[in-house]
Amino acid sequence: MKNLLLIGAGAVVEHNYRYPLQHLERMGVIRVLGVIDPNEGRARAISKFFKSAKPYTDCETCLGDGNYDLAVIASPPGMHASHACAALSFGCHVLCEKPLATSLYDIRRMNEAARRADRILGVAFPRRFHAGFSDVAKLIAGGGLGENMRFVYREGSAFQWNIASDAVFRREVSGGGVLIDKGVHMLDQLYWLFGGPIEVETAFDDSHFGGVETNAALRLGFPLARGSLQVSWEYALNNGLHIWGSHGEVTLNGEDMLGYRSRTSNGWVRVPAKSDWPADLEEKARKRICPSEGIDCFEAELVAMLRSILYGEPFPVTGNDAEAVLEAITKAYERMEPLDKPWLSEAEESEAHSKHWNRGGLR
Amino acid sequence: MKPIALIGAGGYVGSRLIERSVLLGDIPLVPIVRSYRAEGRLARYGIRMAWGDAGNPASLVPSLIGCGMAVNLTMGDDNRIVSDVKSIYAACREAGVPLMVHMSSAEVFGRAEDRVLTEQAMPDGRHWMEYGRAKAAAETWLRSQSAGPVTVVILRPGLIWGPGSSWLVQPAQSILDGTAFLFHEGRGICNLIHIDNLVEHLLQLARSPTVESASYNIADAETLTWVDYYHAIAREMDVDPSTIQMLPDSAFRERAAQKIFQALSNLSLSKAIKRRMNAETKRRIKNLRKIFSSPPSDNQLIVPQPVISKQMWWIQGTRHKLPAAAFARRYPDIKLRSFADLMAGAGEWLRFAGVQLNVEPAWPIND
Repeated sequence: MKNLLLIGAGAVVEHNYRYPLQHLERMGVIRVLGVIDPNEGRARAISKFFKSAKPYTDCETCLGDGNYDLAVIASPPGMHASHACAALSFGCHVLCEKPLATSLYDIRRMNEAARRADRILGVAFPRRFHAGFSDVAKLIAGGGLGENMRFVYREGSAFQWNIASDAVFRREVSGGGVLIDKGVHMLDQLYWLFGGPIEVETAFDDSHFGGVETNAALRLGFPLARGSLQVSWEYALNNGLHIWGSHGEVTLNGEDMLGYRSRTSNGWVRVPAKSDWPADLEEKARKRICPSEGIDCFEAELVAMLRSILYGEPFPVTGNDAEAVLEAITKAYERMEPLDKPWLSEAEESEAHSKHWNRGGLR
Repeated sequence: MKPIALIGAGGYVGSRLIERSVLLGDIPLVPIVRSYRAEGRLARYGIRMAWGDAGNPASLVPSLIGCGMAVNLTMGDDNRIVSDVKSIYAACREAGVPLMVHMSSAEVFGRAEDRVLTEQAMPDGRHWMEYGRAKAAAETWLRSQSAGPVTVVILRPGLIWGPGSSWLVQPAQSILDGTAFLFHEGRGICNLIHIDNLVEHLLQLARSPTVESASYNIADAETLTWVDYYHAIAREMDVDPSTIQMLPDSAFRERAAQKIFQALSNLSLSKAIKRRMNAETKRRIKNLRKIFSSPPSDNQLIVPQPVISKQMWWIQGTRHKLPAAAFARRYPDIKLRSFADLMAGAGEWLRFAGVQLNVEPAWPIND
């Protein structure tokens, strides 16, 4: 039985972690002992879902009060580093929500703290548990798509998260807008498929002074592929990842986690995915899971983290992987230019460019 | 110009008004939202929103004071349409806002089967969709307030299209996927209004020195059929329009089980149960459904199949263009942009969003 601490009790915990944690608690493999949130009401509301959990408003008091094996960090991104370093210094392993941090300095600080404490610093990227993606990663690693790969990855929809605060829209807390919030998932997946380092060739966004971007478009280079990424909090785009290689062509769409599409001489074919993951904590897992819903990915991820602690199994995304991805995001923000929107009137577009937050590279 | 309050500012219409206001600086706005989530698509501007719940007049009044016009742009549960209208009206009266603009819908007239329909006609409120019935009921209530201190203008837009609108994205995506379909050979009337033309109507009301209570159908100037609209989109995407499937009326059949399910879903008791159902129960129901609809375990050739909904079958059977000349008669300064001009802009947006046949990425479009 592992003792857990939840740092942050906002929408991410409410929607993504609560049910998987309740389920794992019912399985008798974990016990949530503490919930920290500066909003006492939130901490109390979440702690009520767990039999032994106590609400706290202060991190140090909570860490000093208990003996936790794992801290799950779901506070606003700008606070991840201080929360993770505190938890690591108290001997906890850490599973931290994405983005791991909002600056490279913070990520390096967290990696160093994990190394010093000899604890695992895992980063929550539940899309690593999409079976279709996992199969395509294996296909690429086995040379199934050939060489000189190109890709287009688009993901957009009107912002739908039922957030508990506006932290995600404040650059000083969130580190940016849709790119660091949603694009970080996409960049992590591309890094998984095509390796690092990630080269940012061009970067465009639509943020004004004082705002964060709602649309971003990057052109990227990886050791195995080149292509484009586009992400939006405003518009539904032609969503999905399309990869062209010398030996094949595939598409992936987040709506179908259980398969991918491959072009054949007869047309496009849906290929059911075969990847699965342990669903229990037996050393040789008796039950395996192939998630078909986002929430199942979170449970698979928590199980993977616990197995990593128990048996030393590798966790999909470490602090070092997250550093490679944040390096790309940092480079993108440094060179952001105004995104063209040619459907606007000339006067509107000209004004949008003049109000761009990175105008002349002088933020 | 006194500020315009936008109640429900985080939606499609509100976002475009805010975009225009921020970029051109010609419209003072007070955007009002009821959740942080609603700020998502507006986050690039870094502007402050006012907080207010359309269902709670007291929460709206502080933001409405000093405004010359309040626009009801709320969307959400159909069962809140009437109560929100009453609440917004009460807030306008309390705050001394002289003009309330209510965004109704051309759908209150259904398929517009009555050729002699006038703009001042009362919707009969017998629509099969709850949305249509609720919008009609809201209009009836607002008209009953005509002697009150707040002037009420009811605007009935048709299908609002433009960059990012679902009435552009969904047809375009289906044309791209090969799943687009048209009933009645596409000859039904497509009652469209572009978002920028809709905004022009609101600006006319805001700028006019005098406004009287009235109801107006509002639409683009042209009369288009569904096939005209779909073909125009297909041309922007470089897709052969002949790939759009023409379906006979018989392709839509509402099964008895569907009718019963729909009738049960519309019962107040079912709605109350659904509203009170916790997320865990919803998840369990979803998991049960998955057992009966697990995806195939073998490779499957993908054959594009139209997904036919009653709504699409219904709306493509619209018989007549709704009369929409009264607004221009009353506010003759209004200038609407042409469909051809607006579709060219929509094409730019479709290319930006990657909804096009060309496999090579066309963006970052600044290159």
